[in-house]
Amino acid sequence: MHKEIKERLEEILRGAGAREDLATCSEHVASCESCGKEIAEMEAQARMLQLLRAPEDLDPNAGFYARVIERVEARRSATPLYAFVDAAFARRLIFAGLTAVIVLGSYLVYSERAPAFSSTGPIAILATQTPEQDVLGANPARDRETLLLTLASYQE
Amino acid sequence: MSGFTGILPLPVAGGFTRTKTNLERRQASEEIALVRRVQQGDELAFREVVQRYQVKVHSIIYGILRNRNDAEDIAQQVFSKIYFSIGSFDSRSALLTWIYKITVNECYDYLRKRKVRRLVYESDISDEDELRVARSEVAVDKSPTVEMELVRRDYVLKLLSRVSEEDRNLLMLKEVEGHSVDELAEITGMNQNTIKVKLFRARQKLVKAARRLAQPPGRALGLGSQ
Repeated sequence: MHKEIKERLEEILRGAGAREDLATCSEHVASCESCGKEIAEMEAQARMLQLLRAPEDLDPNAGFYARVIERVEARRSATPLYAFVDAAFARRLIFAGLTAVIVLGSYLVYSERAPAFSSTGPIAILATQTPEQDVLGANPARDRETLLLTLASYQE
Repeated sequence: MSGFTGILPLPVAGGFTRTKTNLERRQASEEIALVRRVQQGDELAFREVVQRYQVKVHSIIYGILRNRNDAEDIAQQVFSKIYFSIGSFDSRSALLTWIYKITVNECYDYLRKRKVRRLVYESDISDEDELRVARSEVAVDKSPTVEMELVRRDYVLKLLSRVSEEDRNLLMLKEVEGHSVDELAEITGMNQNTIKVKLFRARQKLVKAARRLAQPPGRALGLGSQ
């Protein structure tokens, strides 16, 4: 089809007004067999397409919305992965997951750093004693006291 | 210029378009708000969508299939699809255009899956009838009988099944729904010239499909007499 006809095609096919538009292109259409034939075919198809118009508006049967919701629910229950398709729910799920990871992570980090016992308790004092304090001869007075205490305990 | 609405059209690249009236702008923003509510899971908003478009959807389906029971069943399926996929609707086109596309696709899916041969779609058309319609389409009878009209409906449905989904929707919005090029540009969010070019290409494809159908089977396969 030639350019001048192509550009005005919709006006040509439109109906009553189309005939006037067609008249302005009639010289070309009259002399160009292929354009004339193609336009005729398109006009015929446009008329046939109009056969797909509903003869009148079709009102839905009563309770249509309820049946739509039933179908929605049936489809939702059939696909548990729907939760991941639903954007709003998925966003909430991701947020909750991230929050849980942050809370657990910070707890683990804190529990590794913090001492598991009080620094003033007897275990803490024993644990913090340096090895030097246990070496014999490092503190003679303390060694003597320890020896006497051991002997006294033995006698008892 | 067609589509003149009493407001001076503003020039745009590649053509003219009419400006939206205040009412149209308000309706468009209301529609966007309604869609957002549905996207956020508002059941009342979904109910409003169903109530607003249920008659239209039923009518589109009835126009294609001409069967009330099928119309109800497919309409339910259409709204169920709308419910689950409205998250992907970006409001670049009108909501009705999107719903129209889903509806027509559902009708074609239905025809394909169920192979409702007795109703439409290669239904009662014998090869002979089909060839008769294809060859005589230029000289369409102005007062067709009911039977001939059914054959033509089946034939045009078959032709439409041979073009792309986009071409089919555009042709149907133009010829079945009767929208002008201006209206099509507005509801699809495309430029008028783009619509004209797309319509021209779609019509050409339909003509080619009709010519292929009009050929005897042997010739269509390149087995014509030498």
